Amino acid sequence: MTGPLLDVRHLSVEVAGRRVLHDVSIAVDVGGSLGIVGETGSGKSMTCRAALGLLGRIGGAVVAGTATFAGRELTALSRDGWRAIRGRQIGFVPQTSMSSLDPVMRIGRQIEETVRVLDPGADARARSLELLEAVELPRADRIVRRHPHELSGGMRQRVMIALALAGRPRLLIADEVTTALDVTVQRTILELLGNLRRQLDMALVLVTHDLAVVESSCETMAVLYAGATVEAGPAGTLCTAPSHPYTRALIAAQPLLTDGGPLASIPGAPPEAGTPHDGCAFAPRCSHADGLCLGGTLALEPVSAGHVVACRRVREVVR
Amino acid sequence: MTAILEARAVTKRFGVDGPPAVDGLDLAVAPGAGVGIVGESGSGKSTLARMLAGVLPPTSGEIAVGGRPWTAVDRRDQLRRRVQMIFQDPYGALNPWLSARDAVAEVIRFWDRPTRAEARERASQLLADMGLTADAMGRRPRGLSGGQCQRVGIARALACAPDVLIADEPTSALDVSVQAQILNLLVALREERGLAIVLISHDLAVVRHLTEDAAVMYAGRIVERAPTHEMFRSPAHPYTRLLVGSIPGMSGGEARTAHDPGVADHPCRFAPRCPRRADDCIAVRSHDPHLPGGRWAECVHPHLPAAAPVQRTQTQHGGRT
Amino acid sequence: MTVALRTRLDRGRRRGASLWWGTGVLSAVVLLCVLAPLLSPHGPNEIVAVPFSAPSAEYPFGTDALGRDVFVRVWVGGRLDLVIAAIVVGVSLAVGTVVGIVSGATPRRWLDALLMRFVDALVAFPFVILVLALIVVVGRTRSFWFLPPGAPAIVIASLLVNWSIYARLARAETMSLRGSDHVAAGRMLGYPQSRIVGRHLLPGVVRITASYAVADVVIVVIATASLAFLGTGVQAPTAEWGSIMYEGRAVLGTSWWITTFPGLVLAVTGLAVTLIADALLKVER
Repeated sequence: MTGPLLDVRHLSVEVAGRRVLHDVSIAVDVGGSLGIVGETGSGKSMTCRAALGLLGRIGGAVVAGTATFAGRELTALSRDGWRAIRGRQIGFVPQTSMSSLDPVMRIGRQIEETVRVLDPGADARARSLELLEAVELPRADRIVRRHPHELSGGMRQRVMIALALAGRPRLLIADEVTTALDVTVQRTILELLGNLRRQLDMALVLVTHDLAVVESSCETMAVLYAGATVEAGPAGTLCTAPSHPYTRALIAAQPLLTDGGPLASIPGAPPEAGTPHDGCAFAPRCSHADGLCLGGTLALEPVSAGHVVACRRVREVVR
Repeated sequence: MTAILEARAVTKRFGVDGPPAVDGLDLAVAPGAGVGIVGESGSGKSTLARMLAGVLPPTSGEIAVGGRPWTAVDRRDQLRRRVQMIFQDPYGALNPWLSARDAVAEVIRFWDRPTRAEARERASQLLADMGLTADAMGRRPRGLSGGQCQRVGIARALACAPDVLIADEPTSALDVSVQAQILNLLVALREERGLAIVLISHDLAVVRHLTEDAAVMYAGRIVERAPTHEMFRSPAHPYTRLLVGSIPGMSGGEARTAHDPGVADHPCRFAPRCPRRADDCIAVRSHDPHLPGGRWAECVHPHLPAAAPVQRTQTQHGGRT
Repeated sequence: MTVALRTRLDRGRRRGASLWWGTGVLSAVVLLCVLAPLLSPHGPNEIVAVPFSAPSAEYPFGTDALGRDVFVRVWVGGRLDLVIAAIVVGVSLAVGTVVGIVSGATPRRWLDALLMRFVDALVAFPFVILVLALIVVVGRTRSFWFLPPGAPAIVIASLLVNWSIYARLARAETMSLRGSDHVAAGRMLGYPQSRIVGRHLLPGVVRITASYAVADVVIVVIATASLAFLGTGVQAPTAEWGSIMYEGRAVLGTSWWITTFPGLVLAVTGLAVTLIADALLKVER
């Protein structure tokens, strides 16, 4: 098979009549790693939902665009079709480990139940111990007898990852998995995800608001703003030589450990999800925008190999 | 210079057993100083913040404002105004039933007793200085963005004309682009008003940006103190080193992964995770924490300032020029 | 985030509908209680026709064992039921909210403990036994101001038990608000306790207790009617939903209208109030 494992193109999603995604394009290769970066309302979580077929539950629907996984079109899948994909082909680690685990059920049973559903041929008990060892939890035989509240935040997050691995997915989507964690714990979780990716030859999509996390853990990166991809390409290139004014401003706004100088802040606030706009959604906050940026349609244009940007003034901006 | 806010051997216990949240801590804030307190969840830094602000009494020890302990400061005492606080949750910090302007005007009327119209006028001015539009001033917190709420919270604190602002994770609930606005605002306030700031944060880069001096807290104790930029360039305490090295894009610093139950009640609370732990670490509390070069770390085997600095493995956003 | 948005929209739509239905039906009931007896040519205790007349154009709800017009009696009785409910709920709301806030906000532990043990004791006391005891004390025939015989005992008994629920609600909400940052900020700003309670705690607490009060109206109306149905409530010949039903219970098989119509009005009122309460309780903070 050639081409990316997950390939989302020009995806538009409406929820309750509001267009929350209007042009999202992301791609991740077999065994690759993609970081999706965005602020509040950028649509990064909605993109995950779309890739997992979970839009129906919130009354959302894909209104335009395509999403293919290993060559199969996802947007037209039936419920049964999704059942074969979700968990078995695409695993998902949600942000909130505490509310995603059943507080009154022991960890072992929760994992065994998932294994029985996603991997019926396996010995549920042995497989759940194997999964806990895979996420580098020491003394798995003791962990299985614990309840979620008896574990630390980092340990719970590892359990969530173990659950996502139960169906032996080829792609793991992790939504802000380290946001609530301390920096020392964050590091170990990111290392774990990197190790798992290599060992299991599994692709990884890491959704986060933290550019530094993406730069250190992902090969490619997509920047979302107000429901659209504004820039995508190799993570190193985007972090060192960003082209879109929003990516540039975001990087300049990040305080650094090595430099205490004034920060170049972006005026205003990101628009609420689903706010309609013409032309470029970032134009009202952009220092490079002119009158023409507020109208017309935008498309992702290549600026170099594998690096695309949605900005009509990108030549002037980069120079 | 005498300290405007000072904690002396402050301990706070919640409940009868278990380790104290804050354990015999000393801290002094000079007028106009910028002090960063870094720590992870459970380090006791938020408990310390509330004690410094005078709303949580310590179990033992004393916190003094302008030389007088909080316990001797009456509610209406002008000293009460001198320490104010801004909060992590910008929405929760505001009374949901008051508009932005009313929340600030309430403070002005309470302290300075001007006419209602004058209080509103001053509140509007202060909110405008904080970058709030006239339209937003009439709205209640629910109608404001997180960044706008944080500006209202800052304006409300400044309405008291404080000398010290305690900021408990002031930007961790905000988007990066909005965080920069608030950080720049706080930097400007320090310069314009000579405000001292005690910044409590888990984000080292934010502390680096806003303060000159930093203290690292671990399990209720300060384990290292140093000028901010030096601390993050060459951390002396193994924990600080771990903290700095854990930032994405940085390397250096390590921790033991296997917990050793034998050192559970070690006087050094970091001992179970410490890669440099040795038998003589047991004497950590009596060991002289002063290091060459004016550095300070509560550690028997610190990394000396001359040791190799932590490495940047990546460009750390070299796009910024 | 968008999930939250959608559920909020959905909730808003549902809330709007149930609020309108509830308010509409309740207003109709209240209006009939006020107007129907005024428009009718005869009083509630006036014998107007042959006993046990079936519903007809002239007597829509029929007549009872004495030949009184059930239609008039139902609406006159409704006045009493609603007034009793208003008094009981209004006083409980005021007293309970104040006691709850004091208990939750006071820095004196002993005061909180004292108030709450008192509340616990009241909650634990069996309501029906309390009413029976009060009826013995107050007397079945004792009337008070505009309250007919039997009613004062009900009002006093309901009040005694009822306010404690409000106190508990108010205390719990006060405790949770007390820990919030905006109250901590108020302390830091030097506000006195009275201002913190009045401006920073009270609005939030009243939201909770007032929403409950609406739901409580239906509980009190049903309790009043049930007591009369048990024969211990408002005494004859005063019309009241429960007492009308009580009088008709022996002839339920033949003269079903005497019991059915007040029961129906009671049920409709209860449903309307529940719809309103439901809508109000869903109001986001």
